Amino acid sequence: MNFQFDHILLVVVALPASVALLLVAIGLAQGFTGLPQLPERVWKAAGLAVGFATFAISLFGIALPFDPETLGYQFVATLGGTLSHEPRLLLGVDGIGLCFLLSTAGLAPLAILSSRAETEESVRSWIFVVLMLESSLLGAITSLNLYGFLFFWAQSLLPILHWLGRWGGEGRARIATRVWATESVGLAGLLFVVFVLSEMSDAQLGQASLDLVRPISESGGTLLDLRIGLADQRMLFAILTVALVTRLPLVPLHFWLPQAHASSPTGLSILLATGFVQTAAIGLLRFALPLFPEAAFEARPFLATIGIAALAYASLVALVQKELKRLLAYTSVGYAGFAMFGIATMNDQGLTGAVVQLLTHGLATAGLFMLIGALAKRRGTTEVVAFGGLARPMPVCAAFFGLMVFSLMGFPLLGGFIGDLFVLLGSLDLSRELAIAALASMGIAASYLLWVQRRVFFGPVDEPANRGLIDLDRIERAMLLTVAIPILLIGVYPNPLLRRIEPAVLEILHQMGRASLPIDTPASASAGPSPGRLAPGEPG
Amino acid sequence: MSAVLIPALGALLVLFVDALAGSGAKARTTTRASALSGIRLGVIAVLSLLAVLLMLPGGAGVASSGGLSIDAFAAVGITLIVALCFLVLALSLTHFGMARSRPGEPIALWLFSLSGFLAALASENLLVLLLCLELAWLPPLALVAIDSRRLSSSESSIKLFFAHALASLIFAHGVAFLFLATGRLDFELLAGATVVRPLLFEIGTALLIVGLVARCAIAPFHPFTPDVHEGAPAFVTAHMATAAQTACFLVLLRLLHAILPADPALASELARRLPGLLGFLACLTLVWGHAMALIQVGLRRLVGWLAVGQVGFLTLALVDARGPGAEALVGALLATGIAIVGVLTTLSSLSHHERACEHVGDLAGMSSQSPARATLLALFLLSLAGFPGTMGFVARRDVLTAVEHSGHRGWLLAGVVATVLALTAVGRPLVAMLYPSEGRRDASRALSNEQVVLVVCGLVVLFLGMAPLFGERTLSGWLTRWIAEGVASLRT
Repeated sequence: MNFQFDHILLVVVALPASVALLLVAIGLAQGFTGLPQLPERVWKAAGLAVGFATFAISLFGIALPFDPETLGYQFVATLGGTLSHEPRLLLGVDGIGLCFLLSTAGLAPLAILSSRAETEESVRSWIFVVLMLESSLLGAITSLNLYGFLFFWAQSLLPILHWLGRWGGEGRARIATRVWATESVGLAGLLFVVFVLSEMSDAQLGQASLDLVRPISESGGTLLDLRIGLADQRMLFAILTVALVTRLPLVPLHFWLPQAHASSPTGLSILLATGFVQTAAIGLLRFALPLFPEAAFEARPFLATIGIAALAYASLVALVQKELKRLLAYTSVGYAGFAMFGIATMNDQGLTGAVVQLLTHGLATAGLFMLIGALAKRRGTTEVVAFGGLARPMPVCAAFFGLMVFSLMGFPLLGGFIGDLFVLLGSLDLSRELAIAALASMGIAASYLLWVQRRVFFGPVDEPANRGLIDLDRIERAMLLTVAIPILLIGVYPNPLLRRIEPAVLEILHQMGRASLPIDTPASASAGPSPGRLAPGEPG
Repeated sequence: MSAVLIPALGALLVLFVDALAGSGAKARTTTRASALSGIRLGVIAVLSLLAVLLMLPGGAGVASSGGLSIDAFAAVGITLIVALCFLVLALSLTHFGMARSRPGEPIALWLFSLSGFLAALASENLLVLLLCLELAWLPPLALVAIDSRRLSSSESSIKLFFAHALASLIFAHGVAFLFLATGRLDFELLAGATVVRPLLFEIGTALLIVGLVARCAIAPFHPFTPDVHEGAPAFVTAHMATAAQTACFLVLLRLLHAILPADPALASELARRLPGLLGFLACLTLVWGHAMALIQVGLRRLVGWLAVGQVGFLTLALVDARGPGAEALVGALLATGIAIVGVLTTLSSLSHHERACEHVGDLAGMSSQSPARATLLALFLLSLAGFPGTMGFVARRDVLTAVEHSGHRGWLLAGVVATVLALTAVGRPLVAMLYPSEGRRDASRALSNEQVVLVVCGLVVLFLGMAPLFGERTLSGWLTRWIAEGVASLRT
């Protein structure tokens, strides 16, 4: 076992799962010895403490020391054998990974807090699920090894299956089975790519390494040094993309998400809409594009069209939704399509926009799920028709709802605007027609968001039950502020974020052979030959 | 005397001791007498197994006697089977405890069968192999039917009998044709033998392999497997899924290495056709087994069909029998055996006294009533489906990497599709365990022997599943090297 304690990423990834397993082990030991079980408040306190500690370590130990001027991955840590042919965990972050890491680590304790009322009967299960899910999502976000990515990707399914199957309400068996079956397809696709690349690596590099970078202390090639023929690239890119978009989720593989959101407590919806989606985006940006650049570039029009079609379809379906969570789920599906559109541009602006959009959309959706959870707690329903005129009894709630909705719509000075703008600017390079189509689809999305805001918060208070509703309490306001502040900061002053994302995007484009790096660094030198990595003799 | 015959001696000793224990009504019926008898006979069985391990030649040594030769490859197979047999023996205590029957005859039959499988691994002659397989397969026919109260037990025994008869018939004809073609029956002499009649050689080889394919329960010779899982007591099913499966696959692997005629044209023709045939059968078994598992309502049949799917994966490893597929096969046999023993033990622990846990829906409430067993059952099922982090995944990774290494990407794709089917099939029991129990009775407690088996299987599945993270210097690294050395002896 090769472990270096200065590898802080390992601590961040392992901490939540270790505490969750420790709590379970204590529970089992108490069960065997006949001692009383740990009280639920201890579980809650431990879960929250670990959630906040993980975020604090991520913020102070990783985000603050992170050098935005350095290209490549930072805080690279390994766990596993020193021989490179062994599967192992290799973790590290670039600017993109850092943003998603902070977002997921920050939202996990909020997920625990926001579901206090919904999980009263199952506190232990809930804390266990959130902590295990957090670890696996953080692991997938920071994995620089395809094997590790696959491992964490798979592990993140189990907590969700456990929660949906046990506590998912009416029809949970069907929903859990559907989620499991869909994700099995994604998992199998990843497996296929892992096996093929492992064998290619063995044949070409002399070692079945699945690492994206090589730590300084080791020698040898990486996945980026592989020369993959165009036919193989096409097949592997297609399979990997399908596997990843099951989770993004992109139409037509989105069908599990609305039901999963509707059956989940607020906290799980938050993690599904942020970390879960971001792992898919990381897979696309970190593995699919750099490893199969020619195939990815060929697929640009197709991916962009699918993305726009997904946005338009999901927006139209959202228009007829009568339940707030399902409506928001379709919003996620639509904006996943928009993020795919940004990724499909495969240029600096488009990719940057997609990352910012995924981040800010995640934050805004998390905020909206918290607000819907707060409404459900007060009214016992999330049906749109049950509400109306809530701005009068709940002005703070209405203000936060408005902020999140406007951010989703891409209103200037809010986080969503930056992402949307960059994606649209990037798309001009791809196709003006598609950019116009994207704008039109965004218009539909904006219309249903405005409609739901008007329907829920404005107009007369028709329902007597809505008149006496109490506004958000202090904890709810604090949680929403935690989400709203970054949305505002990104909208007003996006430079710190962009300074961290753009080098990572440039690195991806350089690995694809589509951009040159401003400076040469050890990290960039390890990125393999560019431009393009077709096998010898292959037509470009 | 060869070490592999010790279990047969143990079986004779068991019968002798059982006969001495008396045959009066009291000896038959009292729990205490039954328990004491069980302990005595169990000790004999354990000592027999230990003696086999102690008498195995170390390193690259070879121990030969009377047509049986234990080389490094046979030693790997024998150790693997004996290790799994300790778990099967522990599991069998449940049956004897619950059935309140005298364990003498079943234990003796089990030891005879085990001796046959071990001897098959050590055979160096086709005729001896035929006899060993007969010795190994006849006792299970009786063991499967041992639960005389259940119709399905007798039915599965009859199906197993027909499958056995067919396999024996085909194999015996294969031996005869090969003898006609080459005039030889020793493995050592078959390799590089001058073939007088190529057509007869091809027919003989095909029959020999099909005979073993039938023994391995590869499709289309698989229909008895789900029936055995449904009808036979858990320990008998476990014996079939461990000793029988391991021995038959390893014998097939040895034959694939041994049969290589001197004529280069014939040899290359054989090398070209065999992987094609095995790959096709593997894909058929994979898809058939896992697809049928998707629609099963009965738990035991579901596990049976999953086991058929696993046989498909094991067969896929044989496609690259002369390459890394051989090592992958041995690892996969261990992973499959451990996972199936774990699943059977969990189901057995849930079905004491009355067979309460028959259908997938019977698992409802398990996650709250017995969370430890629910977690372990989930672990074993996930391992069977090749979920990352389990031993089954490592085994599956090795098999599919070997398939990719052999250049058969289509079969790799079939393997991946089968993984989707397998994951979906195990999803139903996983979800069912999470249902609320809705007034169902509490699950029965696991007996001590079952707890031991469950803990051992769980630790092995988890440890070897996570082992790649801990490098080559650990136990798993040693295991991998040991298997590689054993397989290397096969190639030389």
